[in-house]
Amino acid sequence: MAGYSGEILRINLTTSQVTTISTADYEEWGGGHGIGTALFWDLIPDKTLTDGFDPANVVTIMSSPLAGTLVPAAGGRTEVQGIGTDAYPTCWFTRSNFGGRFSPMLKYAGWDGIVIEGKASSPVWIDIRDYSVQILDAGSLWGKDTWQTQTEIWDFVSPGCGPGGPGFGARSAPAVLTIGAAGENQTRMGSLIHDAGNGAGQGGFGGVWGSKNLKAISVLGTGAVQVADPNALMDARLWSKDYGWDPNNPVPPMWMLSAFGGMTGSAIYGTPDIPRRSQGCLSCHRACRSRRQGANGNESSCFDMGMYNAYDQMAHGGAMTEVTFQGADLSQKYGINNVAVHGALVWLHNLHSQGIAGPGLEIDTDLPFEELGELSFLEEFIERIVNSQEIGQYLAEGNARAAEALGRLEQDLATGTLPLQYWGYTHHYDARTQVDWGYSSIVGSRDANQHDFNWPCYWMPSMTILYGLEPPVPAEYLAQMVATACQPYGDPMMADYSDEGIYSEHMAKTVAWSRHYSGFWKQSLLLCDWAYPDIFNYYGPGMMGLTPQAEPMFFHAVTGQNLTFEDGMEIGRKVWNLDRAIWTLQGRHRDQEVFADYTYDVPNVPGFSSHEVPYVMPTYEDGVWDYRPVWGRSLDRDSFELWKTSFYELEGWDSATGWPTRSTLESLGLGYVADELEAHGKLGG
Amino acid sequence: MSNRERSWSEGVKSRVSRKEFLKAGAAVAVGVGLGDALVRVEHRGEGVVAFAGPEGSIVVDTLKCAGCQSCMLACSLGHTGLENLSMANICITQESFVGYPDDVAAHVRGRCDLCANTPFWNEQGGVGGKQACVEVCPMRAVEFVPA
Repeated sequence: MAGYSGEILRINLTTSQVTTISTADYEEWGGGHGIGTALFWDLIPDKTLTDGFDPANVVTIMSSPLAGTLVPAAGGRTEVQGIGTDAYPTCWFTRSNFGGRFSPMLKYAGWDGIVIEGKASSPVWIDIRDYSVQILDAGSLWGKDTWQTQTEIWDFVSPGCGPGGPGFGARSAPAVLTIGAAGENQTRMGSLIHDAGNGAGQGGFGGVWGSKNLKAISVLGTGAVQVADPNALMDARLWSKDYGWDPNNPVPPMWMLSAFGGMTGSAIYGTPDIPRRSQGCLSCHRACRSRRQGANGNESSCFDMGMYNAYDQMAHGGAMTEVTFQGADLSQKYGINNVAVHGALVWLHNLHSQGIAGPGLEIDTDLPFEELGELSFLEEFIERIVNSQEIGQYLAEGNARAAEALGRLEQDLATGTLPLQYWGYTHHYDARTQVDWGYSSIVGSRDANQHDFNWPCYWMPSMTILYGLEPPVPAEYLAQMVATACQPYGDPMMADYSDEGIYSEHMAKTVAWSRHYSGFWKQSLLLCDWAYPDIFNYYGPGMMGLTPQAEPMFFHAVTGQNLTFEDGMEIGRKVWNLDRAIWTLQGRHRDQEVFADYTYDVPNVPGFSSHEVPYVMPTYEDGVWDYRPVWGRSLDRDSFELWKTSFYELEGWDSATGWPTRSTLESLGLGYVADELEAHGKLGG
Repeated sequence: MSNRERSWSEGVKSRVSRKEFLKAGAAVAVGVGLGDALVRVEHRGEGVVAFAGPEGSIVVDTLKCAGCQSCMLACSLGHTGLENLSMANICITQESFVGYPDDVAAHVRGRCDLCANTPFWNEQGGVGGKQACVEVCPMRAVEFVPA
């Protein structure tokens, strides 16, 4: 099928064997997470494994048929899956992804993905140049930061193309994915870094690579991606331009955080005094990052800055300084998950403020809290984590395990002093307010980090009202937008975030829709989460977004396959069920799917985190739609348990356990999955 | 069918090297588009670079460029039906670790035909028509200025 390169690399680091897998055998799964998970299912010897550091762990690094093509905000992403190392108490099979140019380069080299198995006896890196694949000694690279590693590999593969070299500008530098010290030292916060600021951060895959003695993968590709209908792709790309940010008609700042039509990077990240450009992944119209004069913070975005921004401002009279951007660069160079670092900072700062953490105190640490907000503190902090020194010896095991070892886990999760709301992951968006984020996380494997309803239902109304303005569309109209986009459910009540609505069957559809849409359209075809789904769009007719029209249009143009939006959602449901089956084999039960206690016992407070604004969301109360404040809310345990039951029933899973049933799996062509669950005594009744 | 096996309708293999492509394309008529192997490059200040030929200039504002290479993908796609950065006539290169504005460079090859011959694009190209790189650029960083 057009769009695919046709083969997947399979590399066994134990035996140094390099073989190939035909992509055609897996095309039914789409690409990205779908194919990556199906490969994991087929190749992992023991699906009950929960140790990400075990050499038996299988990591799949996947492109998609759209990678390397003109599909907007879909040309550049790469999806990674395997058993993670950071989730608590169980390291679930999980996923992460990153932008840039790695997956297109992989496609141009002739590969749809890479499977990594086993463990090398000493540090290695993988050098891929079209169909040439070599496993090379990484002794001289091990110990180097991610940026230095990349420039050295660039110079090795394409001499002179690095900074200052005579070849600069030829862009013949390979695309490299690498780990830094956090991964080499097998911390649970290790990430995978590509170019300056693209990172697969959540999940702890850096440590997985470190445990395999895998330092880096480099890809140089000179070939092409086949497109089934190039004319249609050109037309579709230019049609979509009307939905994208227009510098001559910019989105008002209060709506900058929206999907396809959102503001570009130079408008989001930066300080007024430093000139910068918006910078984007391959083929992306949004260009959501920036590159700045002086190069601090190049290609970093979102939580890269959010990791230390609040502390920077606290220390410098409320002003964002270069420390925020240099801090982002530190996290990239060390290859450490900045969301996890942020969680650690919040926790320890909270404890220090309460007189609990400090020299000679209950949590005995000589961290220089008087320097909090300066770059020196952050560098010291990260150094201690990656080298397991002092307080870092605990934090290297992840925030939850650190708290457990220090005897603070239960009490700090009860109060929110330790902001780990779901599976030991740092609180991102609040399960008490924008509940679908938390719900998707807890029935999944990690911080869900999918902005499907976050942009239109949280940021749009909350920011508008924060600016003292009327939202651009009334709540009832937004509910209709949700219904229009969210096929096949088409239910406006999915947008009801009222105190009753958050426990309803409609909210079960909201979460199911998000899981299925992510399962195929986003995480398998690799449409970027910062552009899709596009529900509310400032530029769209009636401010409607381009979902569900655009996705099948782009897919058809590239692959030639006639897949409806609903067909794609059904494939996404299949991918989601395969995920669920793996977690079930790893030991998942509904009784484990509970939030940290603060979610139930402590009301959401505006400004709880450093990046959330007070939550104002669409609600349906007393027969009236309106935007209403939902801060101050906590979840009711019993009501949430009832919601879980309705969710499991909607998904066709056993409500007593949360396990998939045979009838559901067989309806998706996954009878063999049901067989394996049954063999392990884990099939839903 | 994998990339290795399939051929473009006019016989150009999908894995054609840049050298082979340039050699095959030498037959493009001189005088069409920028039409000259030695296109005149004019630095007009403030990061604006013009690549001038007898019929006009492709002008790139490198300060606005986001480095997304959509222009390259569109050029390749419209002309060849394939996505291959090496086949594009406009070339955006960038360096992740270099500061703005020195992190991006642009070039347009003299063989650029201003999209006069784009069988895979449903628009009229050439001097009086549209250019794919201009139309697709999300930052509005590329324009064609007739002579």
